[in-house]
Amino acid sequence: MTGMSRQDDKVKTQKASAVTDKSLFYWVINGNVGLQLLMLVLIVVVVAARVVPLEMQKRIINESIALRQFDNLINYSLIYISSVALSSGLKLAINYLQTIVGERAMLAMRRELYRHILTLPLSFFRKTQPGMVVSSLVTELSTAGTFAGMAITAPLTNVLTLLSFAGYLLWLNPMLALATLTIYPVIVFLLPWLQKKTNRANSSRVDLSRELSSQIAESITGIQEVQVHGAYPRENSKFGRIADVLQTVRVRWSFLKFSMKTANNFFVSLGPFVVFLFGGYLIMQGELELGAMVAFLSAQEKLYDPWKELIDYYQVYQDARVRYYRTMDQFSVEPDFDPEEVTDQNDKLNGRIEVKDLLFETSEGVRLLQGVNFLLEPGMHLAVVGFSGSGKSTLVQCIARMHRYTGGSITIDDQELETLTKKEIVANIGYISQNPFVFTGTIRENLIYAEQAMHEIGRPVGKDQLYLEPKLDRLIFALQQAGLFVDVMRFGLESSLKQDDSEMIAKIIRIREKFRENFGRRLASYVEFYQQDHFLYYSTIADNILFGSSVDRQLSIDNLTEHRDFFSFLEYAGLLKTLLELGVEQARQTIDILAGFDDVDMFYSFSPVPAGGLEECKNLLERLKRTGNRLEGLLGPDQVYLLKLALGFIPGVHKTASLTSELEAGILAGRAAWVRWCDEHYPGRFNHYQESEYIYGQTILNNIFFGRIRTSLGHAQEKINQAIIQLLIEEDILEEIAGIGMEFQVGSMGDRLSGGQRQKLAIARVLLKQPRIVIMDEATSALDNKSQARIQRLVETRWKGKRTVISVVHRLDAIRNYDRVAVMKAGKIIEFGGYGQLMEKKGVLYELVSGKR
Amino acid sequence: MSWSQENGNRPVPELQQNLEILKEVPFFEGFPPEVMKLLAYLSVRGDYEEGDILFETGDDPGIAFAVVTGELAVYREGNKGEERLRSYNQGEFLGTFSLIGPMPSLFTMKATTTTRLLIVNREQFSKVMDQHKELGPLLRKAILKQLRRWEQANIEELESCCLQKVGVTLL
Repeated sequence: MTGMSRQDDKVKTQKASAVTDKSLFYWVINGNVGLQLLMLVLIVVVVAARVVPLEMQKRIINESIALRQFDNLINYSLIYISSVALSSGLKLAINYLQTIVGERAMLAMRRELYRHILTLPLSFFRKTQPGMVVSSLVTELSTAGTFAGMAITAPLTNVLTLLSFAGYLLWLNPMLALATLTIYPVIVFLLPWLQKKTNRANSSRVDLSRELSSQIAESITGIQEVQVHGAYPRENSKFGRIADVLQTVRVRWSFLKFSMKTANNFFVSLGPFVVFLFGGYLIMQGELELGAMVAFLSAQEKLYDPWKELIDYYQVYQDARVRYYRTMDQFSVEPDFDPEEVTDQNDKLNGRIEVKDLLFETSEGVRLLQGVNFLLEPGMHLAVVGFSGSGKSTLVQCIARMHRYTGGSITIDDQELETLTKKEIVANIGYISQNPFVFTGTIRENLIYAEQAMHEIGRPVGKDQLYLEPKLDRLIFALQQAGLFVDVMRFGLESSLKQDDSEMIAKIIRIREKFRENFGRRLASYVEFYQQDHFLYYSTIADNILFGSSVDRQLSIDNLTEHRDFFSFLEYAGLLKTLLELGVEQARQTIDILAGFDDVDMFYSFSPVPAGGLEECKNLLERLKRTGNRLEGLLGPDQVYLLKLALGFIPGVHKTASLTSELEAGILAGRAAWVRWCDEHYPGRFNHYQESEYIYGQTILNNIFFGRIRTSLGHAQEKINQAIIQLLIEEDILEEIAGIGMEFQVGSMGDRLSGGQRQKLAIARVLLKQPRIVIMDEATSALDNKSQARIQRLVETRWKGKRTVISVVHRLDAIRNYDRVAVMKAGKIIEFGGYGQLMEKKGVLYELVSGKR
Repeated sequence: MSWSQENGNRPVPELQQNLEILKEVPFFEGFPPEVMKLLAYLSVRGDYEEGDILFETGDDPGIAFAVVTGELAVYREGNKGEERLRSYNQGEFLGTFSLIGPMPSLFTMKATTTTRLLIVNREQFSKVMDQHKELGPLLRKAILKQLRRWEQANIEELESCCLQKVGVTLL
């Protein structure tokens, strides 16, 4: 196999079983032996079933028609049709099996390659785009899969068919058979030759088209330069040159394509020509029966298909081979670890770390670390400081075994780090980076990420459900330590409950009373409570009118606006015209202020126009102008749009219009009218806000308040948080709310969390698995002062003497309480010792600290 | 709320009020009207009670603000506990440097009475700057002017003992 020999040329230190070293044919056989054998059997039957009809044709003519034997005619015809049916049916079965084998092979390839890719050294990914990995796994391997399905069956079926046809014809009449088969060698060489030429023409057509595109793109991008210099002829000639060549190539390509077709057709008709001419002659000579000639004619026709399929097979093979080995080559790097490797001795180390003469060189030969030496007894804390680029991160990453160090040694409890398995490392070392990554999913899923991984690593695939999720209180404890608990509480409070959660709903309503009693006055300036006869400045106009919510989803506010009925109500309440005008005002102001900021989503929080809705507003106003500014002249959908803008207006937040006292009074009157209207038109389908009722579709927090927050500023949030947490503790539902908050979806790559929240989550997930050694690489740099101080306290009080800590520290005022400080410069530790000792020495640390001050 | 209630039946929209306040700020001198309107649209009111903390030492405030009513003061952790350094009153605009980039605060700022601020935040301000490239030079000019004004005031007001520390504009 060609693939094998290519791979063998490479010098490899890798184990023989590495996925990237496997031949393409490995996937054809591996795990598919049974199916392949089954297909072999089917193929033999199919081929036989294909020859039978030829013989039957001959007999029908010779033994039934010529002899006028009706019985024979029926028998032979029945055999004929059954063998045709059998061969088509089995062909279908073979195709189906091929697909299965192909898909299985592709899945196996993808799975094993993906598993391999995940273990590659981090340095590999620094040079590799995620897009390359995606296309390798998704597109590049698909041809290899297709090929794997047909690898054995396609050539076998077709070669066997050709051979048995040829054998049968030779048996019928060797002379005629030889004469007709002489055509084939010509086809064998001529057609592939033409095909090759066509392919070449095609690829140069593609290249030229691409060149032409980039030429156009360049000229249009530089249009200012073109015009200012008047370089029209220059650019035209650049374009024309490529376009001319392209034209020639396209003509040639089309010609070759048609030549292939023609040649094909010609040779296919050449067969019957020989049969008629030579066969006819033989019949006249009495050397051939008529039936045999018919069999010949029929065989001629059928010879073409297997032949075509063989050519196709060859092309698929070529394509699959090239892509497969290219893909595998890209990932042919030795992984740092074999995650499967497990020893069960070192799950709990003590955490004594000794570094001796550590050397780290990049693959380009740049020395990032050299001659690094130090010793930490279990439970000691080390702060690493120094200038940026001095190798701090590299050092801690080496100790976290994220890179393979070039020389020297790092030992943990006197065991060389390089000899530890990945399982031992993750069980003992927790690493928190400066820019931690958070995965799509919930807070909880991200929180248990590291601990779950620690449990699952080295276990056979498929048994991953063995991991028992930690109890809620452990999760909460980790969140509290990392300072993320209040955030998670907020997420919980900002969620809405489902209608069936009646127990929780009852609790919330109970809390609502307590809240009013104990905190109502204290938080009055931050919360706007729902009151029947008060206008709500922090709710939408719609909420102000409905002052309630719909029982069924079909009548949600968005849907309601499209109801003709609702229009009638607004008219009845005398609000329709005012609201439409308000909508126009919103659209106008938003366009005026935000023109050019279509894609800055956060700017739309002060307008009821949704982000990306600017264009729609512009078009709508244009249409309004054409009606002579008559609102009645607008079409239904436009009126609905304006109404939505007006109804979505939150007077206390949005700045694109102002609320007149007339409108305010009108809306309050409308609120009363809505109650009457509902009773008449939608009996039982709307709730009106009542202190004793839960408001579905609104957040838990709004439900506790029976109102809405007026401001999102930090100091107000903090006061509200304090009050609410106190309340939830008293009512004993703090944990439940936190549990709901942990189900918060963090968005793609955590984009719904702030930088600080992401970092806290990363800290919490390491805390949860309680590693003996904690390595922090500026792990608190994205946190605010208070949160930094909290983590600092955690390290200093709870971890002192219990966990070995190595921390790259960016703030020099935070290192005072570390047992040791290492000052790094240009890949070396230039000072090492206790903080006091180094400060007394008045060396580099002293300069750094006093310089910063 | 969206308008000033003191004005009875003819409310001045919040946008308009914000604009009036921002126009008075020397830092925004020469900014084109559409940008001023955008900033007025993006700025939010913050109401603080006595003792409310705006930001603490070491925090990056990330905001600039005008004192609409009330009073703020800055504090520093000294030997005898928290020391009040100075106060800011109605009409003053603070934190312009915070609009340009992260700056850990050297002070803690608190409201000393019921206070209303008009706040512009950095994230939004930089989006505005990204869109209106022509503001770059204006902004540079505004910063330099501010530095100069500050140092000039220092030279004139400080006693000679402290003049050692003058020279920021020469940095």
